[in-house]
Amino acid sequence: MVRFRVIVALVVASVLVAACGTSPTSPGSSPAGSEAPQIPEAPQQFQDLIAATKPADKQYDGVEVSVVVDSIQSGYPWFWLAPAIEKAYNIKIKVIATPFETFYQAIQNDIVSGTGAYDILSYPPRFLGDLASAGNILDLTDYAAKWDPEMGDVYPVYQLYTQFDDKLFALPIDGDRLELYYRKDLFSNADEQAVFEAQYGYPLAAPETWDQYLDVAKFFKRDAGATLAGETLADPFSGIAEITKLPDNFDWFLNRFASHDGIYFDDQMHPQLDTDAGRSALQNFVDAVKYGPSDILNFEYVESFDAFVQGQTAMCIQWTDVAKIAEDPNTSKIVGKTGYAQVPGVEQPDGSIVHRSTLAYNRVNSISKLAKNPEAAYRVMQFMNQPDVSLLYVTEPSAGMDPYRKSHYADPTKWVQQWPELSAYIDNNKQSLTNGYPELTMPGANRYNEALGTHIAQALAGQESVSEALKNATTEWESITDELGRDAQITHWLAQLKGWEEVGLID
Amino acid sequence: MERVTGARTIESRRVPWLMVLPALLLVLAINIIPLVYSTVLAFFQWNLTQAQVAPRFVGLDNFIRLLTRDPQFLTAAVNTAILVVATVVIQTVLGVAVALLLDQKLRFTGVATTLLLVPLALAPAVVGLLFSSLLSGSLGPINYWLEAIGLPAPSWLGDAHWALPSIVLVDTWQWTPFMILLTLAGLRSLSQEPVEAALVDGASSWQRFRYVKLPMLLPVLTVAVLLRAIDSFKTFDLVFLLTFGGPGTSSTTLSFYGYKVGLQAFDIGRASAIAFLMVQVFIVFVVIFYSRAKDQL
Repeated sequence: MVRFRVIVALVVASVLVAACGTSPTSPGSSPAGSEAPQIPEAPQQFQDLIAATKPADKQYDGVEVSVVVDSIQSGYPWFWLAPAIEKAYNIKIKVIATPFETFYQAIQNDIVSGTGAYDILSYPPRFLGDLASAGNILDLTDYAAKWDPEMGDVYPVYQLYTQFDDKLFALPIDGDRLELYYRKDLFSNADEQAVFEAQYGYPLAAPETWDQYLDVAKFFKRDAGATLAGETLADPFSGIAEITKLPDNFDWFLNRFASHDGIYFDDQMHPQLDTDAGRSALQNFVDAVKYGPSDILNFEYVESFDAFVQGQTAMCIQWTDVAKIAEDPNTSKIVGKTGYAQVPGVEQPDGSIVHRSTLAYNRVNSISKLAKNPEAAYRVMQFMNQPDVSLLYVTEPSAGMDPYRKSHYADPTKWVQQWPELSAYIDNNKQSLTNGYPELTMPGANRYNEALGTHIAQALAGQESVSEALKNATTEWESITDELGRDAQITHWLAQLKGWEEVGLID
Repeated sequence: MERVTGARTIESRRVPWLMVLPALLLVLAINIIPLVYSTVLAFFQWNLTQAQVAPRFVGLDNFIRLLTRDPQFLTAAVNTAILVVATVVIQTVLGVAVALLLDQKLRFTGVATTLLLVPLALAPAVVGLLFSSLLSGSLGPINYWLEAIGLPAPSWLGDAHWALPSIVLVDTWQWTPFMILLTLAGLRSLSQEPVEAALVDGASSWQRFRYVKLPMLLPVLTVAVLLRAIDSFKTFDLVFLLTFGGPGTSSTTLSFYGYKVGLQAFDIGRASAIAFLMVQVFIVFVVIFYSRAKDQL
């Protein structure tokens, strides 16, 4: 009966959207099957791995496993490694890319309607709590006991992103964190250094604090016709690029919020957004976007990193793969010019600076409860998660995946992409992990994020004051908690906190 | 003989019903049942991410929340009203003006009329992608040319004050040809005698339009305005593709908000309440419009 209601509800929802107009699609991405166009050829290292792959102990003749991913780009590792998987297990891989903005919708629709088009879900852990608590993904504990996913080599925080209620529900495929990238050629320019120091009274360098971040951003904001590092600008130049739009803008708030010692909830699940930490963080975010490109309030991932790698901004807070994109001559105009730093932080009374890097959107793979052959799906996920296999796609610039195993950093000479500053990049990566601040993965996480992100966007657009935005977000968070059941949410939150404490992410 | 005739009568009554039955069933299945079910769901709290939890009856709570405690809904309602009024007024005025021009039988009017079909033939997704590039604040050609002639180059899609006008602009680009074509068809079907009589009486071209052509055109314009208002009221594609409702919620329309609540937050009860309210507003609008315009129809 529940399923019938769900199906009818989804039909109703679909009719509502159909009534709104045609089906939504997203800029820059389109639905695709395995034969999707314009998949770049696999780099040589992938070809070598395919050539070296041997048939495994058990074969799954005639089995096809479908994988849903959030963009064509994040499907590249699957497209590239599909021949190896077929060689190892005789399993065919079908990759289905959905538009980024409607990814969660696609997963939920598929499961609750009982369609079962996706066997493997490749998603950010913010969906984990909803999927696991509703029984929509399978517990992998038994499979993991039989075929070791080598989780001991995975950084503890990324292990947390695969667990719910102390059970293994996912295997990692991506390890992300936010970092500050800056134009070291501009920061080291003697003229720019002299002018900056004269104006602000301290040397020009990658900003250590959020206040310095505003100074540097303001300093580099210039109109067309102005001079930058001795050259006349043909186009306007900006201080920063950040993500300001849903569904990810809240992660850019969290960098600031956490470094001000903010925490999501108290132990009764009352939101701690409308606090000094929240107000300082959001005010800094609101102030910073003034120094971005004119259309920064319409920036999601692509627009944000593109502004930086096209040489339009001095700084960019972004996920770790952007540094790789910046060193790729096929996509970047600033090859060899990127410096790496921690996201800015907050100075403490003892003079030390607390940096907190949001550990956000680290994709994991789970098996849908509707998977036609769960064991085959697990073997595929396990194959992708192997240290030597995952090393390839987390070190290849166009795959959009990032290191999540300790072994990924063990030997930089094995990285697919090589550039002179690779070791500096890796050092910064590791430091960001130490300074990491986790995303929520408990049930309702996506709803909390959506509500917070909406009010952040309104504050950035000037539709709400900082205080109003945080108050309204607080009200919505309370309402979500009450809808989901406060007692149950308290239990999930305390379990989440305990996990973070155990891996040293919070005190 | 009578029995045969009676049987034939029953059969002849049954045949039309049998012929429309498939269509009726289809309408019932994809329109009526979802509409009724959606209306029922509007009185329940139910989140599809927790689909295993049964819907909970909450009476009018979803409506009360939307109307009294949900500023985003009110913003979306205001944005939708602005969008409908702006697009319909601008497109009607432009449509009539261009149609009058094309009705002059100047050179190239045939080519121009054909070219007008191009925006109408484009899928909304294509239009959205096209204009997201054209209106890009820093890289878009529109701003490049504006700056080249010394005009300010606004951040069309990245400024809360410009986002909704940008959607009006794009919608106008795509749908003004629709108004032009309908008006042109109306103009070409007008009886010429009253126009010629007015000309003989010494009426100026403005007077001929205002007092002769326009009253005769009103039935056509009424239908065109109604169709455009209906379409604008449910605008979704352009919002999704150009601004995703932002910056903030500055370009969020009711359809887009319904989508966010229903298919992103999966709050199916509240989304149904939004749909229900939209239908009610829509019915009231059509009834008022029809009662005022029925003499023209």
